[in-house]
Amino acid sequence: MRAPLSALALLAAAASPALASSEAEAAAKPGLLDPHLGLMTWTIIVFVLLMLGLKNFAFGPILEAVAGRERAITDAMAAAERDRAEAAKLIAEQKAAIEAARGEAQRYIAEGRATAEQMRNELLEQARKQQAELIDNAQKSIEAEKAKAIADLRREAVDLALAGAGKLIGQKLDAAADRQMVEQYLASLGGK
Amino acid sequence: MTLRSLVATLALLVFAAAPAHAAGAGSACHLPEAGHEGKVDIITPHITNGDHIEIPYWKFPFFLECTLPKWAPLHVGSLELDLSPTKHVVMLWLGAVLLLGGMVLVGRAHARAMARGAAPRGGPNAIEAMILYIRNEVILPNVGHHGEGFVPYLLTAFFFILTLNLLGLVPFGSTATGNISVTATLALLTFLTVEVAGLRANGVGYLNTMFYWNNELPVVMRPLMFLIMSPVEMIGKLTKPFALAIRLFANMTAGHIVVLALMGLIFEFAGPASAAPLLMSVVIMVLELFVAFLQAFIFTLLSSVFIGQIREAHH
Amino acid sequence: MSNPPPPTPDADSASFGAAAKYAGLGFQLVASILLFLYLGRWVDRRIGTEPLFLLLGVFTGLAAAIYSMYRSLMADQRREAERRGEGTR
Repeated sequence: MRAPLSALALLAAAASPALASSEAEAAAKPGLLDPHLGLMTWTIIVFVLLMLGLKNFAFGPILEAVAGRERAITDAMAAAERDRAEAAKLIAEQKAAIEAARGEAQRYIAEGRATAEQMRNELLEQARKQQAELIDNAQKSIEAEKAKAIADLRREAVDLALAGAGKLIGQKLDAAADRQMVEQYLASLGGK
Repeated sequence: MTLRSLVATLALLVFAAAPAHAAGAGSACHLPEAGHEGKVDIITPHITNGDHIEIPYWKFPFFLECTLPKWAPLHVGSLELDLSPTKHVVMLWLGAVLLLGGMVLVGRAHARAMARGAAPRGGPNAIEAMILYIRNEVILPNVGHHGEGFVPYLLTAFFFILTLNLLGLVPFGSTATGNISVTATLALLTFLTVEVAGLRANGVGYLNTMFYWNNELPVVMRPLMFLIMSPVEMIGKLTKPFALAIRLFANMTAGHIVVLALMGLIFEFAGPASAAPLLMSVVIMVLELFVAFLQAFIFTLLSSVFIGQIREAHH
Repeated sequence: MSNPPPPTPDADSASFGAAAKYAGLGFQLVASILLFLYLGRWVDRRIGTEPLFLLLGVFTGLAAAIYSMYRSLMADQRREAERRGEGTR
């Protein structure tokens, strides 16, 4: 492993002209590719200390601050969303209530109108009926009076005729038989 | 405020302590020796590690050479470990301190802004955008589910490499990421992270990423393919971090060599003709600025991809 | 880091990553060829059959590396298809 690796390293470095010139005096001066154990140890020490320091005093607080900020933003967004949903809900409720009230009013109005209509109709009907009854009664009584009057008139007429005729012929006509004859005559008159 | 002054003090310490300490340890800052004869190789000392650093100075040639102290090497078993600060070690310290200080300030700006309930403005916001982009668009989609644990490592890798790259472009600075030891160590850390991630995600199935045993093959073929393919699988494991290390090192080094060569040409031409290399070096410098970001990004992206790849290997 | 914001997977960056992961395959190719080449040379020197196993090693390494690439390519494609399936579900 060592041989191919160092061969590779040489290959990689051969391209740099600086190395070519330094190789002549490499004996005294540190070469470009010389591993330096002390430097490697220092690299590890410094790196590990730096990592611990950065982790605890820099990256930790910074990332935490970023996370906190992000959390705050997320929270604010969630709160806004919640508030909006609540407002929407309230508005919807309000709208529903208004709608309900309007419906109720409409219903009352319609009901009132219907009741009024019905009442009017009933009153009208009743009035009409009473009127008809009154007219009917009046007609009936008129008819009755008329019949009575006609009968009276007729009887009077018969009596008059009989009396007139009796006086005329001087004898008292038999009431029953003659009355019948006059009445027949009168009926024939009335028939015209 | 106390933190700000603390960071400033630390930054000053890194700048000032090196020469001060060096003086105490028997070495000191001095003006660079003048009067070199003939041509001098300015490129190699600039891109390689060294035992001295340059600091700004108010008199010509406007910099001092400070020799860094030499500490007695530690002995770990048979290993000799020389932990003396070198140029690139100082750059690692400087980069880490600047990055940590800057990031802590950004973190505090965020804490203050969060108390106000708002996002920070200006610089902290830009850094936050970078962190979030790297985390949300590069690390998490590539690492896979539950990749939170890898975020600190990968973010640190990105910002540390970026800081070191940028420090190499600053006057008097040096590119620690142009040193193969540094990039190899960073790649080694990625390698370890990848393997540990694979071990944790796959359990026993992790062995499948190292050894090749295909039960669909004829019985005779199985051991043969095992012997041929297992080394290739292991090479594949190793070449990934190797490519990472070489890529970062080569990109940072090559750019600096080009810039330095062009700067050398400015003085070589020494006339109206030097306008051409001057212009070109400016252009290459801008390109280098882009490359500094790009290579830090690529290192982080590939590390994320490798972690994601091995975590999903059981599929 | 206790409560991080949710990640926003981006198709573009994911495919960019998928393409970038093949950037290191060249090294694997070269490394496996070299490994089998040196192995073959070692065997040749042991039993004196130069250059039989060296050549055999080169081709074995090449074939193995290509097969390994093919396998990882197929695995990635299958994963990609799975991920897409998850996305549409």
